[in-house]
Amino acid sequence: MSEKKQTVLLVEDEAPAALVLFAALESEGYMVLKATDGKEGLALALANHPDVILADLKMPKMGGMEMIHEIRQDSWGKKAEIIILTNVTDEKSLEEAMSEGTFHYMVKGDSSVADIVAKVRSRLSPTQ
Amino acid sequence: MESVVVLVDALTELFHRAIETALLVVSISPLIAVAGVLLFLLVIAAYLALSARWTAEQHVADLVHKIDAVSEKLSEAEKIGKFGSFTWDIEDPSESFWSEEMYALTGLFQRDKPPAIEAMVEVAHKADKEAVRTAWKSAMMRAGPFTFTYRIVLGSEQIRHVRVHGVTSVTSVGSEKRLLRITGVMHDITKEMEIDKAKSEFVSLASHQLKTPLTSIRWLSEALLGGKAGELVEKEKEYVSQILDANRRMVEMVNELLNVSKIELGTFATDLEEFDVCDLLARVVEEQKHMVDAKSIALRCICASDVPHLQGDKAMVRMILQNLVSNAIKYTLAKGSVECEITTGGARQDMLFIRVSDTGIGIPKAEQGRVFEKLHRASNAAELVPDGTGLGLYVVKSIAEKTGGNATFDSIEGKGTTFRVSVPLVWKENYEKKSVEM
Repeated sequence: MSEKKQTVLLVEDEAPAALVLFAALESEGYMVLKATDGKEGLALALANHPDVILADLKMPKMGGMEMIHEIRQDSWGKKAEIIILTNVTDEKSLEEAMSEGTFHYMVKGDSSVADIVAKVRSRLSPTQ
Repeated sequence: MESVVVLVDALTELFHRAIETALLVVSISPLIAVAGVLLFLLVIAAYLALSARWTAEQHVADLVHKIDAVSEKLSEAEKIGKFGSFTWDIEDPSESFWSEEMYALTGLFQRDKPPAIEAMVEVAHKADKEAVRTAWKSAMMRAGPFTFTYRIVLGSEQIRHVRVHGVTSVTSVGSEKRLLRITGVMHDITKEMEIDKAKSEFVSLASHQLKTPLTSIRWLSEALLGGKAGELVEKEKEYVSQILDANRRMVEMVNELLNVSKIELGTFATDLEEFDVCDLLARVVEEQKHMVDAKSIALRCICASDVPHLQGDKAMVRMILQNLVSNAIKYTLAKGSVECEITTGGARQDMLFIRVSDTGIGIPKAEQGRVFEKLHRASNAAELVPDGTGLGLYVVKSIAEKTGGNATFDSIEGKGTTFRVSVPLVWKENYEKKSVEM
């Protein structure tokens, strides 16, 4: 019986980081959608309703926080699983993330790719 | 002055006439001649007295003129250098003095405000008032030099940063020493503070921007080492490992720069939580285990049984412990020993004391005064570990002092060093709002 692959939306403008994360998530068996800015991420999120969104904060066109805010306006997006993955660690950004109902915040510099994959796994429900 | 000149002229004239008259009178009558001589002597005495007074007055006038000129130059220098000078007479406050520039700096009007210390406190930013008052009280109670900085709020809500340098002098009355006066200058350091803030903001931004590509390098190197792009040959593995090591060192440096800018910007101690500091020390020590084992260092850490949970910024306390412990290990040669201890104390048992001792290379005596300076590295430390930043101890002292604690050390070159750091057991929120530095 074939199982529907769980989808991860990776929103990351830093190409080398996106390359490694994409490969690592794909090798875990997830279907990975890629966006390089918040605007593209928002469109992909609303069109595909991914199981987890892995979002950077500082990005061109539309930043990660603004993208999350827009996603939260959508009825599906209200409960979307979002993990912030950034090197921005100031209090203001953390508070802003929490006020957008996003409590999963990972600091790139402190995390290995394996840590990030593990976090994605922990936010996904067992495969349907 | 003119009246004196006229008087002297008149007396000179009188003197000449007196001589002529005396000669005439002597020829007329000896009695009148004696009276004439007496009158003559009297006139001479008056003449000498008046000309001495005139010379003295002229001297005083010269001095007054010179003082005026110096005063004017000082006033100009104060304006250019943006500093004001003051004297606070402790015994007789009515003898106190503020230069014109003091009024300009504090935004007060000379006619409304007598020069008083209370006026300097009054204009302070409300968050700095208490600390400024305390700084003045302490200056008035102890002879010697003092320095502190604070913010002044001007009429238009404009903030001016000032630094006060002063000296409290004493006089001896018999065996008793009495505080006499405080003399000092107030310096406008607004520009310096702005530049410093801009510099810290730049470092913060640059550090974040540097961290992103550094993370990518790490992740890609790890992926390569993990065989995600195919198995590597031994030489390739060695090279990638070197890339990873260099990357780790650079991340450490960027993190230290970021910490310094955080502390200097004042954006710390905003995240207070209760935590077990002994547990934190154990974790920090555990992280250093590989280095301890590699150098066969005897490491012993003790945490007193009565140390309560600390209520403060865990990341900042971690930074203190991490810097002290890793330094001790780094600068101790193989087979040496490192000891750390956490206790509590203080007048109200409200302080946490951290002591880290080592049998390491020590700090050369001539460089001991610069140990806590930003970017300074002792010559023997730089020789032993070339890639340090010289920021660690600056960070330790800054955190300790900003929270109301302290950082000191004793060291003998070649024998070892002991650092002692204290921080409060309960931190206040937002230390950054207080800008008074003493």
